[in-house]
Amino acid sequence: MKPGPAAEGAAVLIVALAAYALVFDDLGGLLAAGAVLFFLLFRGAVFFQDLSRLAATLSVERAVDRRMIRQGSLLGVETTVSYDPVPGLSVDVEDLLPAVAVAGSAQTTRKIGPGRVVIGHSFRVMAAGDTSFGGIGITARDAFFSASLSLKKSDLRRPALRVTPQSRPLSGRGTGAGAGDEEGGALHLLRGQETRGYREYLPGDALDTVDWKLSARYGKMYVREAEGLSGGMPFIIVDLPDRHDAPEQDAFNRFSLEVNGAVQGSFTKFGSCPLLILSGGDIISYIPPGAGEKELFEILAGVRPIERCTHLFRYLDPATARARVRAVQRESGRSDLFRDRLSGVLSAFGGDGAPIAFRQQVARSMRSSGAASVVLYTAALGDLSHLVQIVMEARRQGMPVAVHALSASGAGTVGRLPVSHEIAAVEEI
Amino acid sequence: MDGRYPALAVAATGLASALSGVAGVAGIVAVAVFAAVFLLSRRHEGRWFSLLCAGSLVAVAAGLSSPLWSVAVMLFLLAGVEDDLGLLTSRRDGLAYALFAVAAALLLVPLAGLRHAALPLIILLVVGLAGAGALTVLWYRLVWTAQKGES
Repeated sequence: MKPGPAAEGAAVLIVALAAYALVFDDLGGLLAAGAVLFFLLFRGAVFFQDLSRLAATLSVERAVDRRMIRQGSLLGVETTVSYDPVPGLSVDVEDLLPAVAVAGSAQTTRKIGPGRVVIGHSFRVMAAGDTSFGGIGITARDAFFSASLSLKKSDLRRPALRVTPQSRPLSGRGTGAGAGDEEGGALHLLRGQETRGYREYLPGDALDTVDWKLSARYGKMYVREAEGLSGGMPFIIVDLPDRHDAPEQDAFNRFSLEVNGAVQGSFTKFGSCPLLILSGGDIISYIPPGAGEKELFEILAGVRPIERCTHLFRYLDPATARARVRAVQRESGRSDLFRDRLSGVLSAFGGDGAPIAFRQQVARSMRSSGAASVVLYTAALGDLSHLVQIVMEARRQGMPVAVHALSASGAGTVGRLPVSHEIAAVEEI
Repeated sequence: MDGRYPALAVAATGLASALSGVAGVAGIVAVAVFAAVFLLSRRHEGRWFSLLCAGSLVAVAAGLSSPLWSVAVMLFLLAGVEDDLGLLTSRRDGLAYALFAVAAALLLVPLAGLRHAALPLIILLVVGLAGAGALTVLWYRLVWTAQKGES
């Protein structure tokens, strides 16, 4: 509840009258101030009562295209809000989206009668599972006060929605004994991931990890857990693309869905999901383990290409420089003079200084995450020097790294990084 | 309601206080200022605030005769403000304002018996803070029930 300009003006008058009354010891002036003060309290009470009555009489009817939707698909909604109109009270209503949804279009409001409003809009639910609308937001104002209220009663959140996971097109030939027995899966470019075990399917798991034979045998969905990345909670790192080098909208939606699914899967399984969002050499935000689901998805709702301020392509890591010097020294067919000069140049640029701030921040967040592995999501566009730093730091802390790169070309680019042999798996989104 | 009636009531009360008390000239001048503001601000947006300020001047001048005149002037004046802002449109609004006027008179009239302004000021501050506190508690209770989905 906030005072409007009229209430502020009246408050100034109260102060002026009270100051006059105190300085000149004038009881008349003080009673005038008191009358205006009581009037403001009276108007506040009337506003509160009107708003309570409005909230109590508000009802909602929602017409949705469908109640079972696929994760990430666009859902159109027409919401009819009815309430008892209160004279002198101006009311705006807003349909609150589910917690894990992003708006697909702006809300358009159409008044169809006194106290009846139709809101049209669309949105995408980014995480799989059962969800419902967030309720109704109302903003009311009269001449003296204004207030915003989010109404989340269960009858204002209907209907419930069931969101099925987004499936990715299967690529690559799976393993199996013969025809009809083979399961496709994402193409692993680097060191293979063998199945360590099986567990029940959780909302958010990728459909291509489902073991269909096992699921058919037991009548429940089971997913395969890969070796190396299944021992504990993963530390999810999201590398946002540069705004000037952003992928197509469809591709970015795919990327965003994959990230949402991974975060939801980790949260469902482990009850926590340490998350680091960065773009190039810029750390955008870090969510430590123990953060709530709401906080995680609020951060994820803001995932979009951003303006990159720090680029690391000029930075030569000391360890990389030393490795290159060793490689140069081993090269045959070059003159000693060339080898010495090239080694000198590499040493001069690589140096032995302290790691850069980015590397230190990544190291701190990895240590505090308490995670067993690192899962990195990247659009793999433009400069990827920062990925080298992340992979090297993960190796230093003994955490296996899996990279999910957007598109086949992105996966290929990651596979050609100088530290690619340190990456446990590269998967294509 | 025609906005001229509360303005006329303010002016009449101001004149009555001026004629009945010791500060006749001050009261008449204040009423003249109020009348001038009323006549000159007819087409101005936010006229209610000009009238409130000018009416407060009349109330202060009336208070020189007796503080009770101040209370009467302010109650007529605030009715005019409500009317100017379109808040007195129904019978329910009128009844609510009448209740407010009675409650305010019951609270303010006893204060008129005190000699100095310091103690009534403290009493008004305490009452103001208590009222604002009660409103705040009620507001956050409403927010809580709305968020939690309780009826």
